[in-house]
Amino acid sequence: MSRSLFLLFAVALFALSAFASDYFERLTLTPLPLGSLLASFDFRANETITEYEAQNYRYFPRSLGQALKHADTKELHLRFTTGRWDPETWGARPWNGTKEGGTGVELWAWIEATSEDEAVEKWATLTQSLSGLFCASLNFIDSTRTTKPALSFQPLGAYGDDGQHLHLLHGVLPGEVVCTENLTPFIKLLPCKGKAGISSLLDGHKVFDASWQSMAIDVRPKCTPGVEECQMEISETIDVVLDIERSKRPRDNPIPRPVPVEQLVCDETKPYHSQDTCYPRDMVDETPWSLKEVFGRTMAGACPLAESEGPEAKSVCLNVPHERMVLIGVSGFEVKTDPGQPESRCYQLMPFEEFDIELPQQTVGTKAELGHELLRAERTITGHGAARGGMRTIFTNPSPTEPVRFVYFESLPWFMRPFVHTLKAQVTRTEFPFDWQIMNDMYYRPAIDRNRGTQLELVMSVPPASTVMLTYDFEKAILRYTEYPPDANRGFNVAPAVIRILEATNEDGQSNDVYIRTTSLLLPLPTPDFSMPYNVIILTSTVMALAFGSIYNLMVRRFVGADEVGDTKVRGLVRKVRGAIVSLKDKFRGKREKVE
Amino acid sequence: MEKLSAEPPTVVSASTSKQPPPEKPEAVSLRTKIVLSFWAVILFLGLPTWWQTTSIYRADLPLQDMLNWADGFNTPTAIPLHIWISSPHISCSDAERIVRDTQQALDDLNEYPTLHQRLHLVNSRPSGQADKKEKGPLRTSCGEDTSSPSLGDPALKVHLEPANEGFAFELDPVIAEAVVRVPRNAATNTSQQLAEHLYGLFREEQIAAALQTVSLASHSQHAQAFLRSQPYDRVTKIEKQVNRAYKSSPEFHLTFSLFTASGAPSSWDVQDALKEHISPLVQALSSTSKFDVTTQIQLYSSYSPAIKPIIKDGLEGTFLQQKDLTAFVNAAEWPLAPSIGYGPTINFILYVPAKDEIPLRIDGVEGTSWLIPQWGGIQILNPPLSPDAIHGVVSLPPHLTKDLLRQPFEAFASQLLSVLGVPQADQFGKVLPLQLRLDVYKRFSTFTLYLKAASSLGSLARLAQRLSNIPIPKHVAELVDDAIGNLTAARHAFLESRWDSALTHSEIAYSDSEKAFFDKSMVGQVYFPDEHKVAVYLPLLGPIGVPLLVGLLRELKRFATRMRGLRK
Repeated sequence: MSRSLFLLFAVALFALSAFASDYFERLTLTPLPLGSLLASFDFRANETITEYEAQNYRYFPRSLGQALKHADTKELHLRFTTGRWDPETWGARPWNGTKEGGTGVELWAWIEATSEDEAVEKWATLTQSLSGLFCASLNFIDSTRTTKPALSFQPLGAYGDDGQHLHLLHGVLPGEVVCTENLTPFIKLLPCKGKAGISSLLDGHKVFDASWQSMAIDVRPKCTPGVEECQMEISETIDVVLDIERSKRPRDNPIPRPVPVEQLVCDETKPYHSQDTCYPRDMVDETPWSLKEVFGRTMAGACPLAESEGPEAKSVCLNVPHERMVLIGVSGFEVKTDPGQPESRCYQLMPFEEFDIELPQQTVGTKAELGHELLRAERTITGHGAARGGMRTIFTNPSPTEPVRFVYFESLPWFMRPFVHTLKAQVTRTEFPFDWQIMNDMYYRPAIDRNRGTQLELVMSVPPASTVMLTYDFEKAILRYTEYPPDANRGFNVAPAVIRILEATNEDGQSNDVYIRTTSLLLPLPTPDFSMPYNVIILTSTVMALAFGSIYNLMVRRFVGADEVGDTKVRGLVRKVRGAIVSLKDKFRGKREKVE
Repeated sequence: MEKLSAEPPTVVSASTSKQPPPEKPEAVSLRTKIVLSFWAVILFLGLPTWWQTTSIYRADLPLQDMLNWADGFNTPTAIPLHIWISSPHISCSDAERIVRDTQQALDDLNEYPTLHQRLHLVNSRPSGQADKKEKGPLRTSCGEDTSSPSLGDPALKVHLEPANEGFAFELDPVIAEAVVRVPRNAATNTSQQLAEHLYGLFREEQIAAALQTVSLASHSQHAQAFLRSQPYDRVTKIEKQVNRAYKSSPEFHLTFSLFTASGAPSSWDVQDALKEHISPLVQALSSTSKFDVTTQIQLYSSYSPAIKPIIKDGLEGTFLQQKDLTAFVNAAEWPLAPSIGYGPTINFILYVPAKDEIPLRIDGVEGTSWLIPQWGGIQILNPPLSPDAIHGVVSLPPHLTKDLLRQPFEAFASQLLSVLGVPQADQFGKVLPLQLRLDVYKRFSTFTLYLKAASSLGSLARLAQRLSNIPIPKHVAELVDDAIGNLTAARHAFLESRWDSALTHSEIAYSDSEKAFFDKSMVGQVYFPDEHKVAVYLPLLGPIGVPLLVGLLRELKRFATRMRGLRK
């Protein structure tokens, strides 16, 4: 009996150690200046290639797996983003910008196909099934919104010899509004489904109330040197920048209300400070918050699938200096990093036990290093009028010593026709004394009307401490009547440009590309009056009727002298009616006279 | 009164006005020519142009043909079911007599021609000596040659063996063969008994086919008469079986899902279980349909919240009420979306309840599995609880071993067969040999696909007749032609009892007819409103049409008066 129990134990232990590393999840919380909080949810799951091919799905969601298999997609990247990351206040982007997309929905995938046409066909299948899966309008990614970037993206997966049959396709929907209906299917893909682990904190009301949020799904084949078999990895991340004050508002009473007088923090040194005058003091303390306040609920224990020991077991990490006071309950176990920058601490949770972190209000001397952006980019549409316009992108390299080399990728809709001869890059401000070659390489694929959009990829570099301005002119095409969307006067969305900074080196010394996306743009196009076709029909009909009527009458009528006109029925009737009116008038007048 | 008073001035003015000079006859005829030429241009140039540019393309469909197929006029009246009888140890004349008498008895038992048994005495060389030609001619004289094309595929092979004891009918446990022991005397009785056995063996199949004919084809008097002749309770039983089964399809997706109410167990030896219990079945069924198997594990997926299990005093665990079983599936949360691709998805769910509900059982029923008609099967698994490796708390095992999965997957295998409509046992409750059951399924699904293809052709024909403003593109007509061609081929195969080719043709016909019926390009124009057309046409037709019409009327009137004048 005891032996069999021991055996069971051993089996259980073996099972735990053998399977636990296939799922990993972590929530990293980083307080940002001005009372913001960056919450990065990271979920990763593996499935061996054999099981994946045999369609035995364990951690890999079946619905997504089938969609990918059906379209022969080997690697998939899907992004849902809203808001704008504010690099001036918040510093460097999370994940170096690799896990975010432009505003709206962005999708790129490597599809296995023998020819380009076949790849495009499979791409259509893929977008359609993903559209159903994520409740997004991904099926609107048609050939005009699809590009084949040559320089901007590199496959992350491990491909052997069959890599040459892979086709990269990239599609953007800048106008898509990302909301709760996209988050729900996203959570359903997770093995713990928001019932346990860090995913239990995800609530659509809080996530989409954020200043900036990005959801990402990456699927790729992965071959780790230590592991015998290659694996399919699905990585799902959600990054949210929450405004702590805003998130703390109760859900049933979300209207902000004035702070009561006794709770106001006033600068008492001001001469006019009195009982009814208050000069508010700068908020220098760290904002107090707890998980329950910010996310509206506490975490429902650890997900039992995640590893329960080792460094990967710590599912919540907090990037605050060690001097910051953090209160946790009994259900967590804290591990701090060694003193010195960057300071952070992580928590290992118990399964089935509620977990909460509380950070009280506190004055902290040391500020956490937020990192800085390697390049700042700003993209705007210039010009006026309905026919022409211009695009201007300003790149600023903040580094005083290092130049920045990057790929600038734009996919423009077909109705925006750029003039490449006007493409010009010039240094507008520099502290760098030498000549500099800004534009190094260019890949351009012109648009075909109603068939495909313009694709422009530029390899550029910006000298240290300089600003470069890239401009070009474009012409606005006139659309057909049926091609206008219902809200044509709002303008047409132009997808954000993607900037891939090359040869950036992170602290491990590994080459790691950083991605930056500009904001999306609205392009006003000449819009017709949509009642125009009917006006045209009626106007032409009238003109034709006039012309036809007079010619026809000229030919058919018989012309007689004015006094020779006979009496027709109509004229007789008119005369009768006139006589009747006259006699009526006479009667009426007669009556009136009598009355008078 | 006013009218009267108004009349005098009119009369006065008419009498005083000057009459225009009489019109010249050339001018009158010229005017007539002008009006007529305008109308000629409109009728011979304008109308055809308008018709050409605005008409909807409607390819020619063989509507009457399609309706005939749907009504069952083209369904073969007699689909023979060939049974081969070999008698290596009985004299040729005896064997022939038995076969003849049995056929006679069978024909007396049942007159319905669809899937009617036809007995054939075949040349029965012992299989080991099949290649030895020198022994062949000796026996060929008795019975037909098995390679003869008129024989088709046998539904059953019967070996007659002489015996000293009474009559015995023994089915092989696996393949579709039977051994019949024939006593040396009292032969008429033997034929009667053999006929009854054979009739009983295929009776349910015949009833099922008749039911399908009645439901899918409108011209089914024979089938209705046959069903009326059968006992009512048997027909309803088979009807239930047929309704429980998934509609036949050339392709099926099977999804095996492990749903657990809590976070464990999170893995299972599904590959081994599938290999042991499901793959052989799928292999055997693959000649009828294509099967695609997927599995998934879903944690924290509890059953539907509407269900409240009850706790019974004195009994451990919880009990589900029988009336709740149909509502068990948590459609809102369980990711059971149908598989991508063609064909329906059959779901099999292994449900592991939460720790505090174990063991979860069904109130008043022994087993823990049940079938949802036309959907799939559900099985509750109560795994043994074991102490956790770390905390020592009693908990669910993290992994389901092959041994634990044996019983559930056996249940799934039998559920798969009944969801597909493979018969389980004959009318006496005896389990039939697997090959015979699979053959029955193959014939039934061939016949169903054939009838469904015909019926959707009929629907398409009615749709095309009813909605006159939908376009019918050319490729729909091509698909229809193709479907009809395949239906005809399937019909020939039915008559010759070649089931494999009948299945292939029926499948193609079915998918073509479905594709034709659900073609996207046919629905586009249906919603274009007529008011829209009026809004476009009226501004043009009003001002132009009125003078033209008035001119024409005037001419006609003049013509009429002239004719009257001429007659006088």
